[in-house]
Amino acid sequence: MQSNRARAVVGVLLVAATVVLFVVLSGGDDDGDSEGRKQATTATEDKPRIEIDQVLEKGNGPAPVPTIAVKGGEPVGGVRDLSFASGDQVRFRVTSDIEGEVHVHGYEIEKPVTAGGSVEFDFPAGLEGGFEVELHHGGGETQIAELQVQPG
Amino acid sequence: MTARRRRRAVVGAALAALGALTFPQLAFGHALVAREDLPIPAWLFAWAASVVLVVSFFALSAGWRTPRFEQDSWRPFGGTVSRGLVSRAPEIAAAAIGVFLLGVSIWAGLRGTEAPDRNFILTFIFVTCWLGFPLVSVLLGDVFRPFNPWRAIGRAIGAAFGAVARQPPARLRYPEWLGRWPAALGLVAFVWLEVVYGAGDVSAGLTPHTAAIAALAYTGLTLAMMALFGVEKWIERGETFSVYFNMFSQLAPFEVREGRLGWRRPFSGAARWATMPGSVALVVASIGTTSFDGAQEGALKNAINDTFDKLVDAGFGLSSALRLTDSLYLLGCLLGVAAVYLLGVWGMRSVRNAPSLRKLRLGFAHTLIPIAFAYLVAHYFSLFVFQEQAQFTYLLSDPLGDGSDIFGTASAGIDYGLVGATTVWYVQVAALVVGHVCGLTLAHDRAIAYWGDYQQATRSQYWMLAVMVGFTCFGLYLLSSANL
Repeated sequence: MQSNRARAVVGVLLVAATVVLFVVLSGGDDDGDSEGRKQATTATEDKPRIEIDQVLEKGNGPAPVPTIAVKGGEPVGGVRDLSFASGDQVRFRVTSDIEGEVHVHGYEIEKPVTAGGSVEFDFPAGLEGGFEVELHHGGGETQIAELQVQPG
Repeated sequence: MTARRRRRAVVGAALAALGALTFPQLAFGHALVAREDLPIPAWLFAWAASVVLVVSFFALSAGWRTPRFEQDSWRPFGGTVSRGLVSRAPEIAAAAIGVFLLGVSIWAGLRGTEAPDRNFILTFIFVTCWLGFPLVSVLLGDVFRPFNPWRAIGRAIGAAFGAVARQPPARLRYPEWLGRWPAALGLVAFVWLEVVYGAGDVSAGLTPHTAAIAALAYTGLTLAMMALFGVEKWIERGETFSVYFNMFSQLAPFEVREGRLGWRRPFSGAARWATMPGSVALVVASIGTTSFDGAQEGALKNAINDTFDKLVDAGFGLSSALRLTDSLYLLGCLLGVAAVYLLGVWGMRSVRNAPSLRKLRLGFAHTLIPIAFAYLVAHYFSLFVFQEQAQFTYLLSDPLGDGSDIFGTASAGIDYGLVGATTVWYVQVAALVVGHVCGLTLAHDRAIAYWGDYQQATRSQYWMLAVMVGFTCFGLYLLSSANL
């Protein structure tokens, strides 16, 4: 009986630990969700979403679109996350110091970029999911951004 | 499959850190999929987890008192139905189709393009068959068996041998303690080839050519084992695909016995499945490998990247560091899943009048089959939906990726708008919840059969309940942390 009680205690503790884990995890996810809701709200207000990224990045006045800078074949600051709501207009720009082609997977949009030049994307977010944005260059390809299109 | 994309950035950074001047040619120019699933939102996670808990406690209090799946309920269909579906002619046709498609795959792999997404072999083996057969098996029974190309070749060779030598070929005795272990090991090896070896895309990922070589090697191994132990013996115990798909077919309401097609109570086949050693290993391998593939994209991503960095610092090459890291975490997932199940078994042993540990371990293995299937659906539903469009359009018309157009569908593409992200979420969560309920049902039924006494049976089920809640909520957690 004694060992049974010990086993029961272990079981209860396990379940409790699982529940706590969920609360913690879903709590963490809540932030992401409220962010998503914020985006959705701004989207329904029918205003272009305030591009906090760019304001912070440029500092001087509103820039039209987020810019991904590629130096030495690598995105500055790592792979950039671009998040849009379904039906929005996806807009971003890529500047690169090497020649190549910028490829948006899934949407299958490919645009060339010259060394030192820039290329701009502007297309409706019609497909939901996560899509990779890559720079194809001289025999290699590097992911430079992750485009996430959330259900509207 | 998607993790390799993310990893590429890491590899790039590591190369830069190493001062490598040239970025190596990436073998996986395009991975199979161009789209990744979005993590399930927090509200859905919370709802699903709550439903799982409520359903579980309801199941404990409202369970039935006599076993329902233990009795063999198989009844044959009428002669015409049986003859039409499982007679000689359709059997030969199915076998021919199986051998033909294996041949096409290997031929495409050896002679076709090295672009993974344009070559027939990778999508056909890793998506169409690997994900398609579990689905078909759960619904219709062991459909793979008649199409199994190795069974067909093995039987043909056996028949030819018999005709020439005028005696049946001599067989070795299959060691019964080995049970389904060879199949379980094969399953891990297969997934390792796909998600670990294939992820090392720095210099040589899983190219169509490699996949074809692997298929040839597996064919050789399988035929050798069939020659040693007999075709049917090896099909039942060692041939990974047969054993694996057959496991899922145990949930189906249809079964062929002695050449007759029949109907049985759904899930009742599962109750008689886990009779030989290695059965636990097989179902654990299924859940563990799927968990790893899901976790490497989200939950385990940072840990994997850290270990990878450490191994690179320790002087490993990039490919070997990546593969070693992934192998370690895959092993960790397998051990973790096994540990959770064995903990539940150990707990049940404490209930009064419990059967032996060994009997419990084998006796509840089948209750994980629905969970294993739910994991497959949750992780690969969207991949299957999108990649099958490729399979039945351009990969069918242009299997080698050399510009041919056999059926006029070579220019078609994948419509990534076919299924929206919300639908994918609901399917994923529904699969896990339904799998959970089915697992609980089987476990409750088995407990009633083992204990006889309803109260003790219910007491034993606190343990399986904890195990299943653990697996289901872990599955939900993997979905919520995908690609973060």
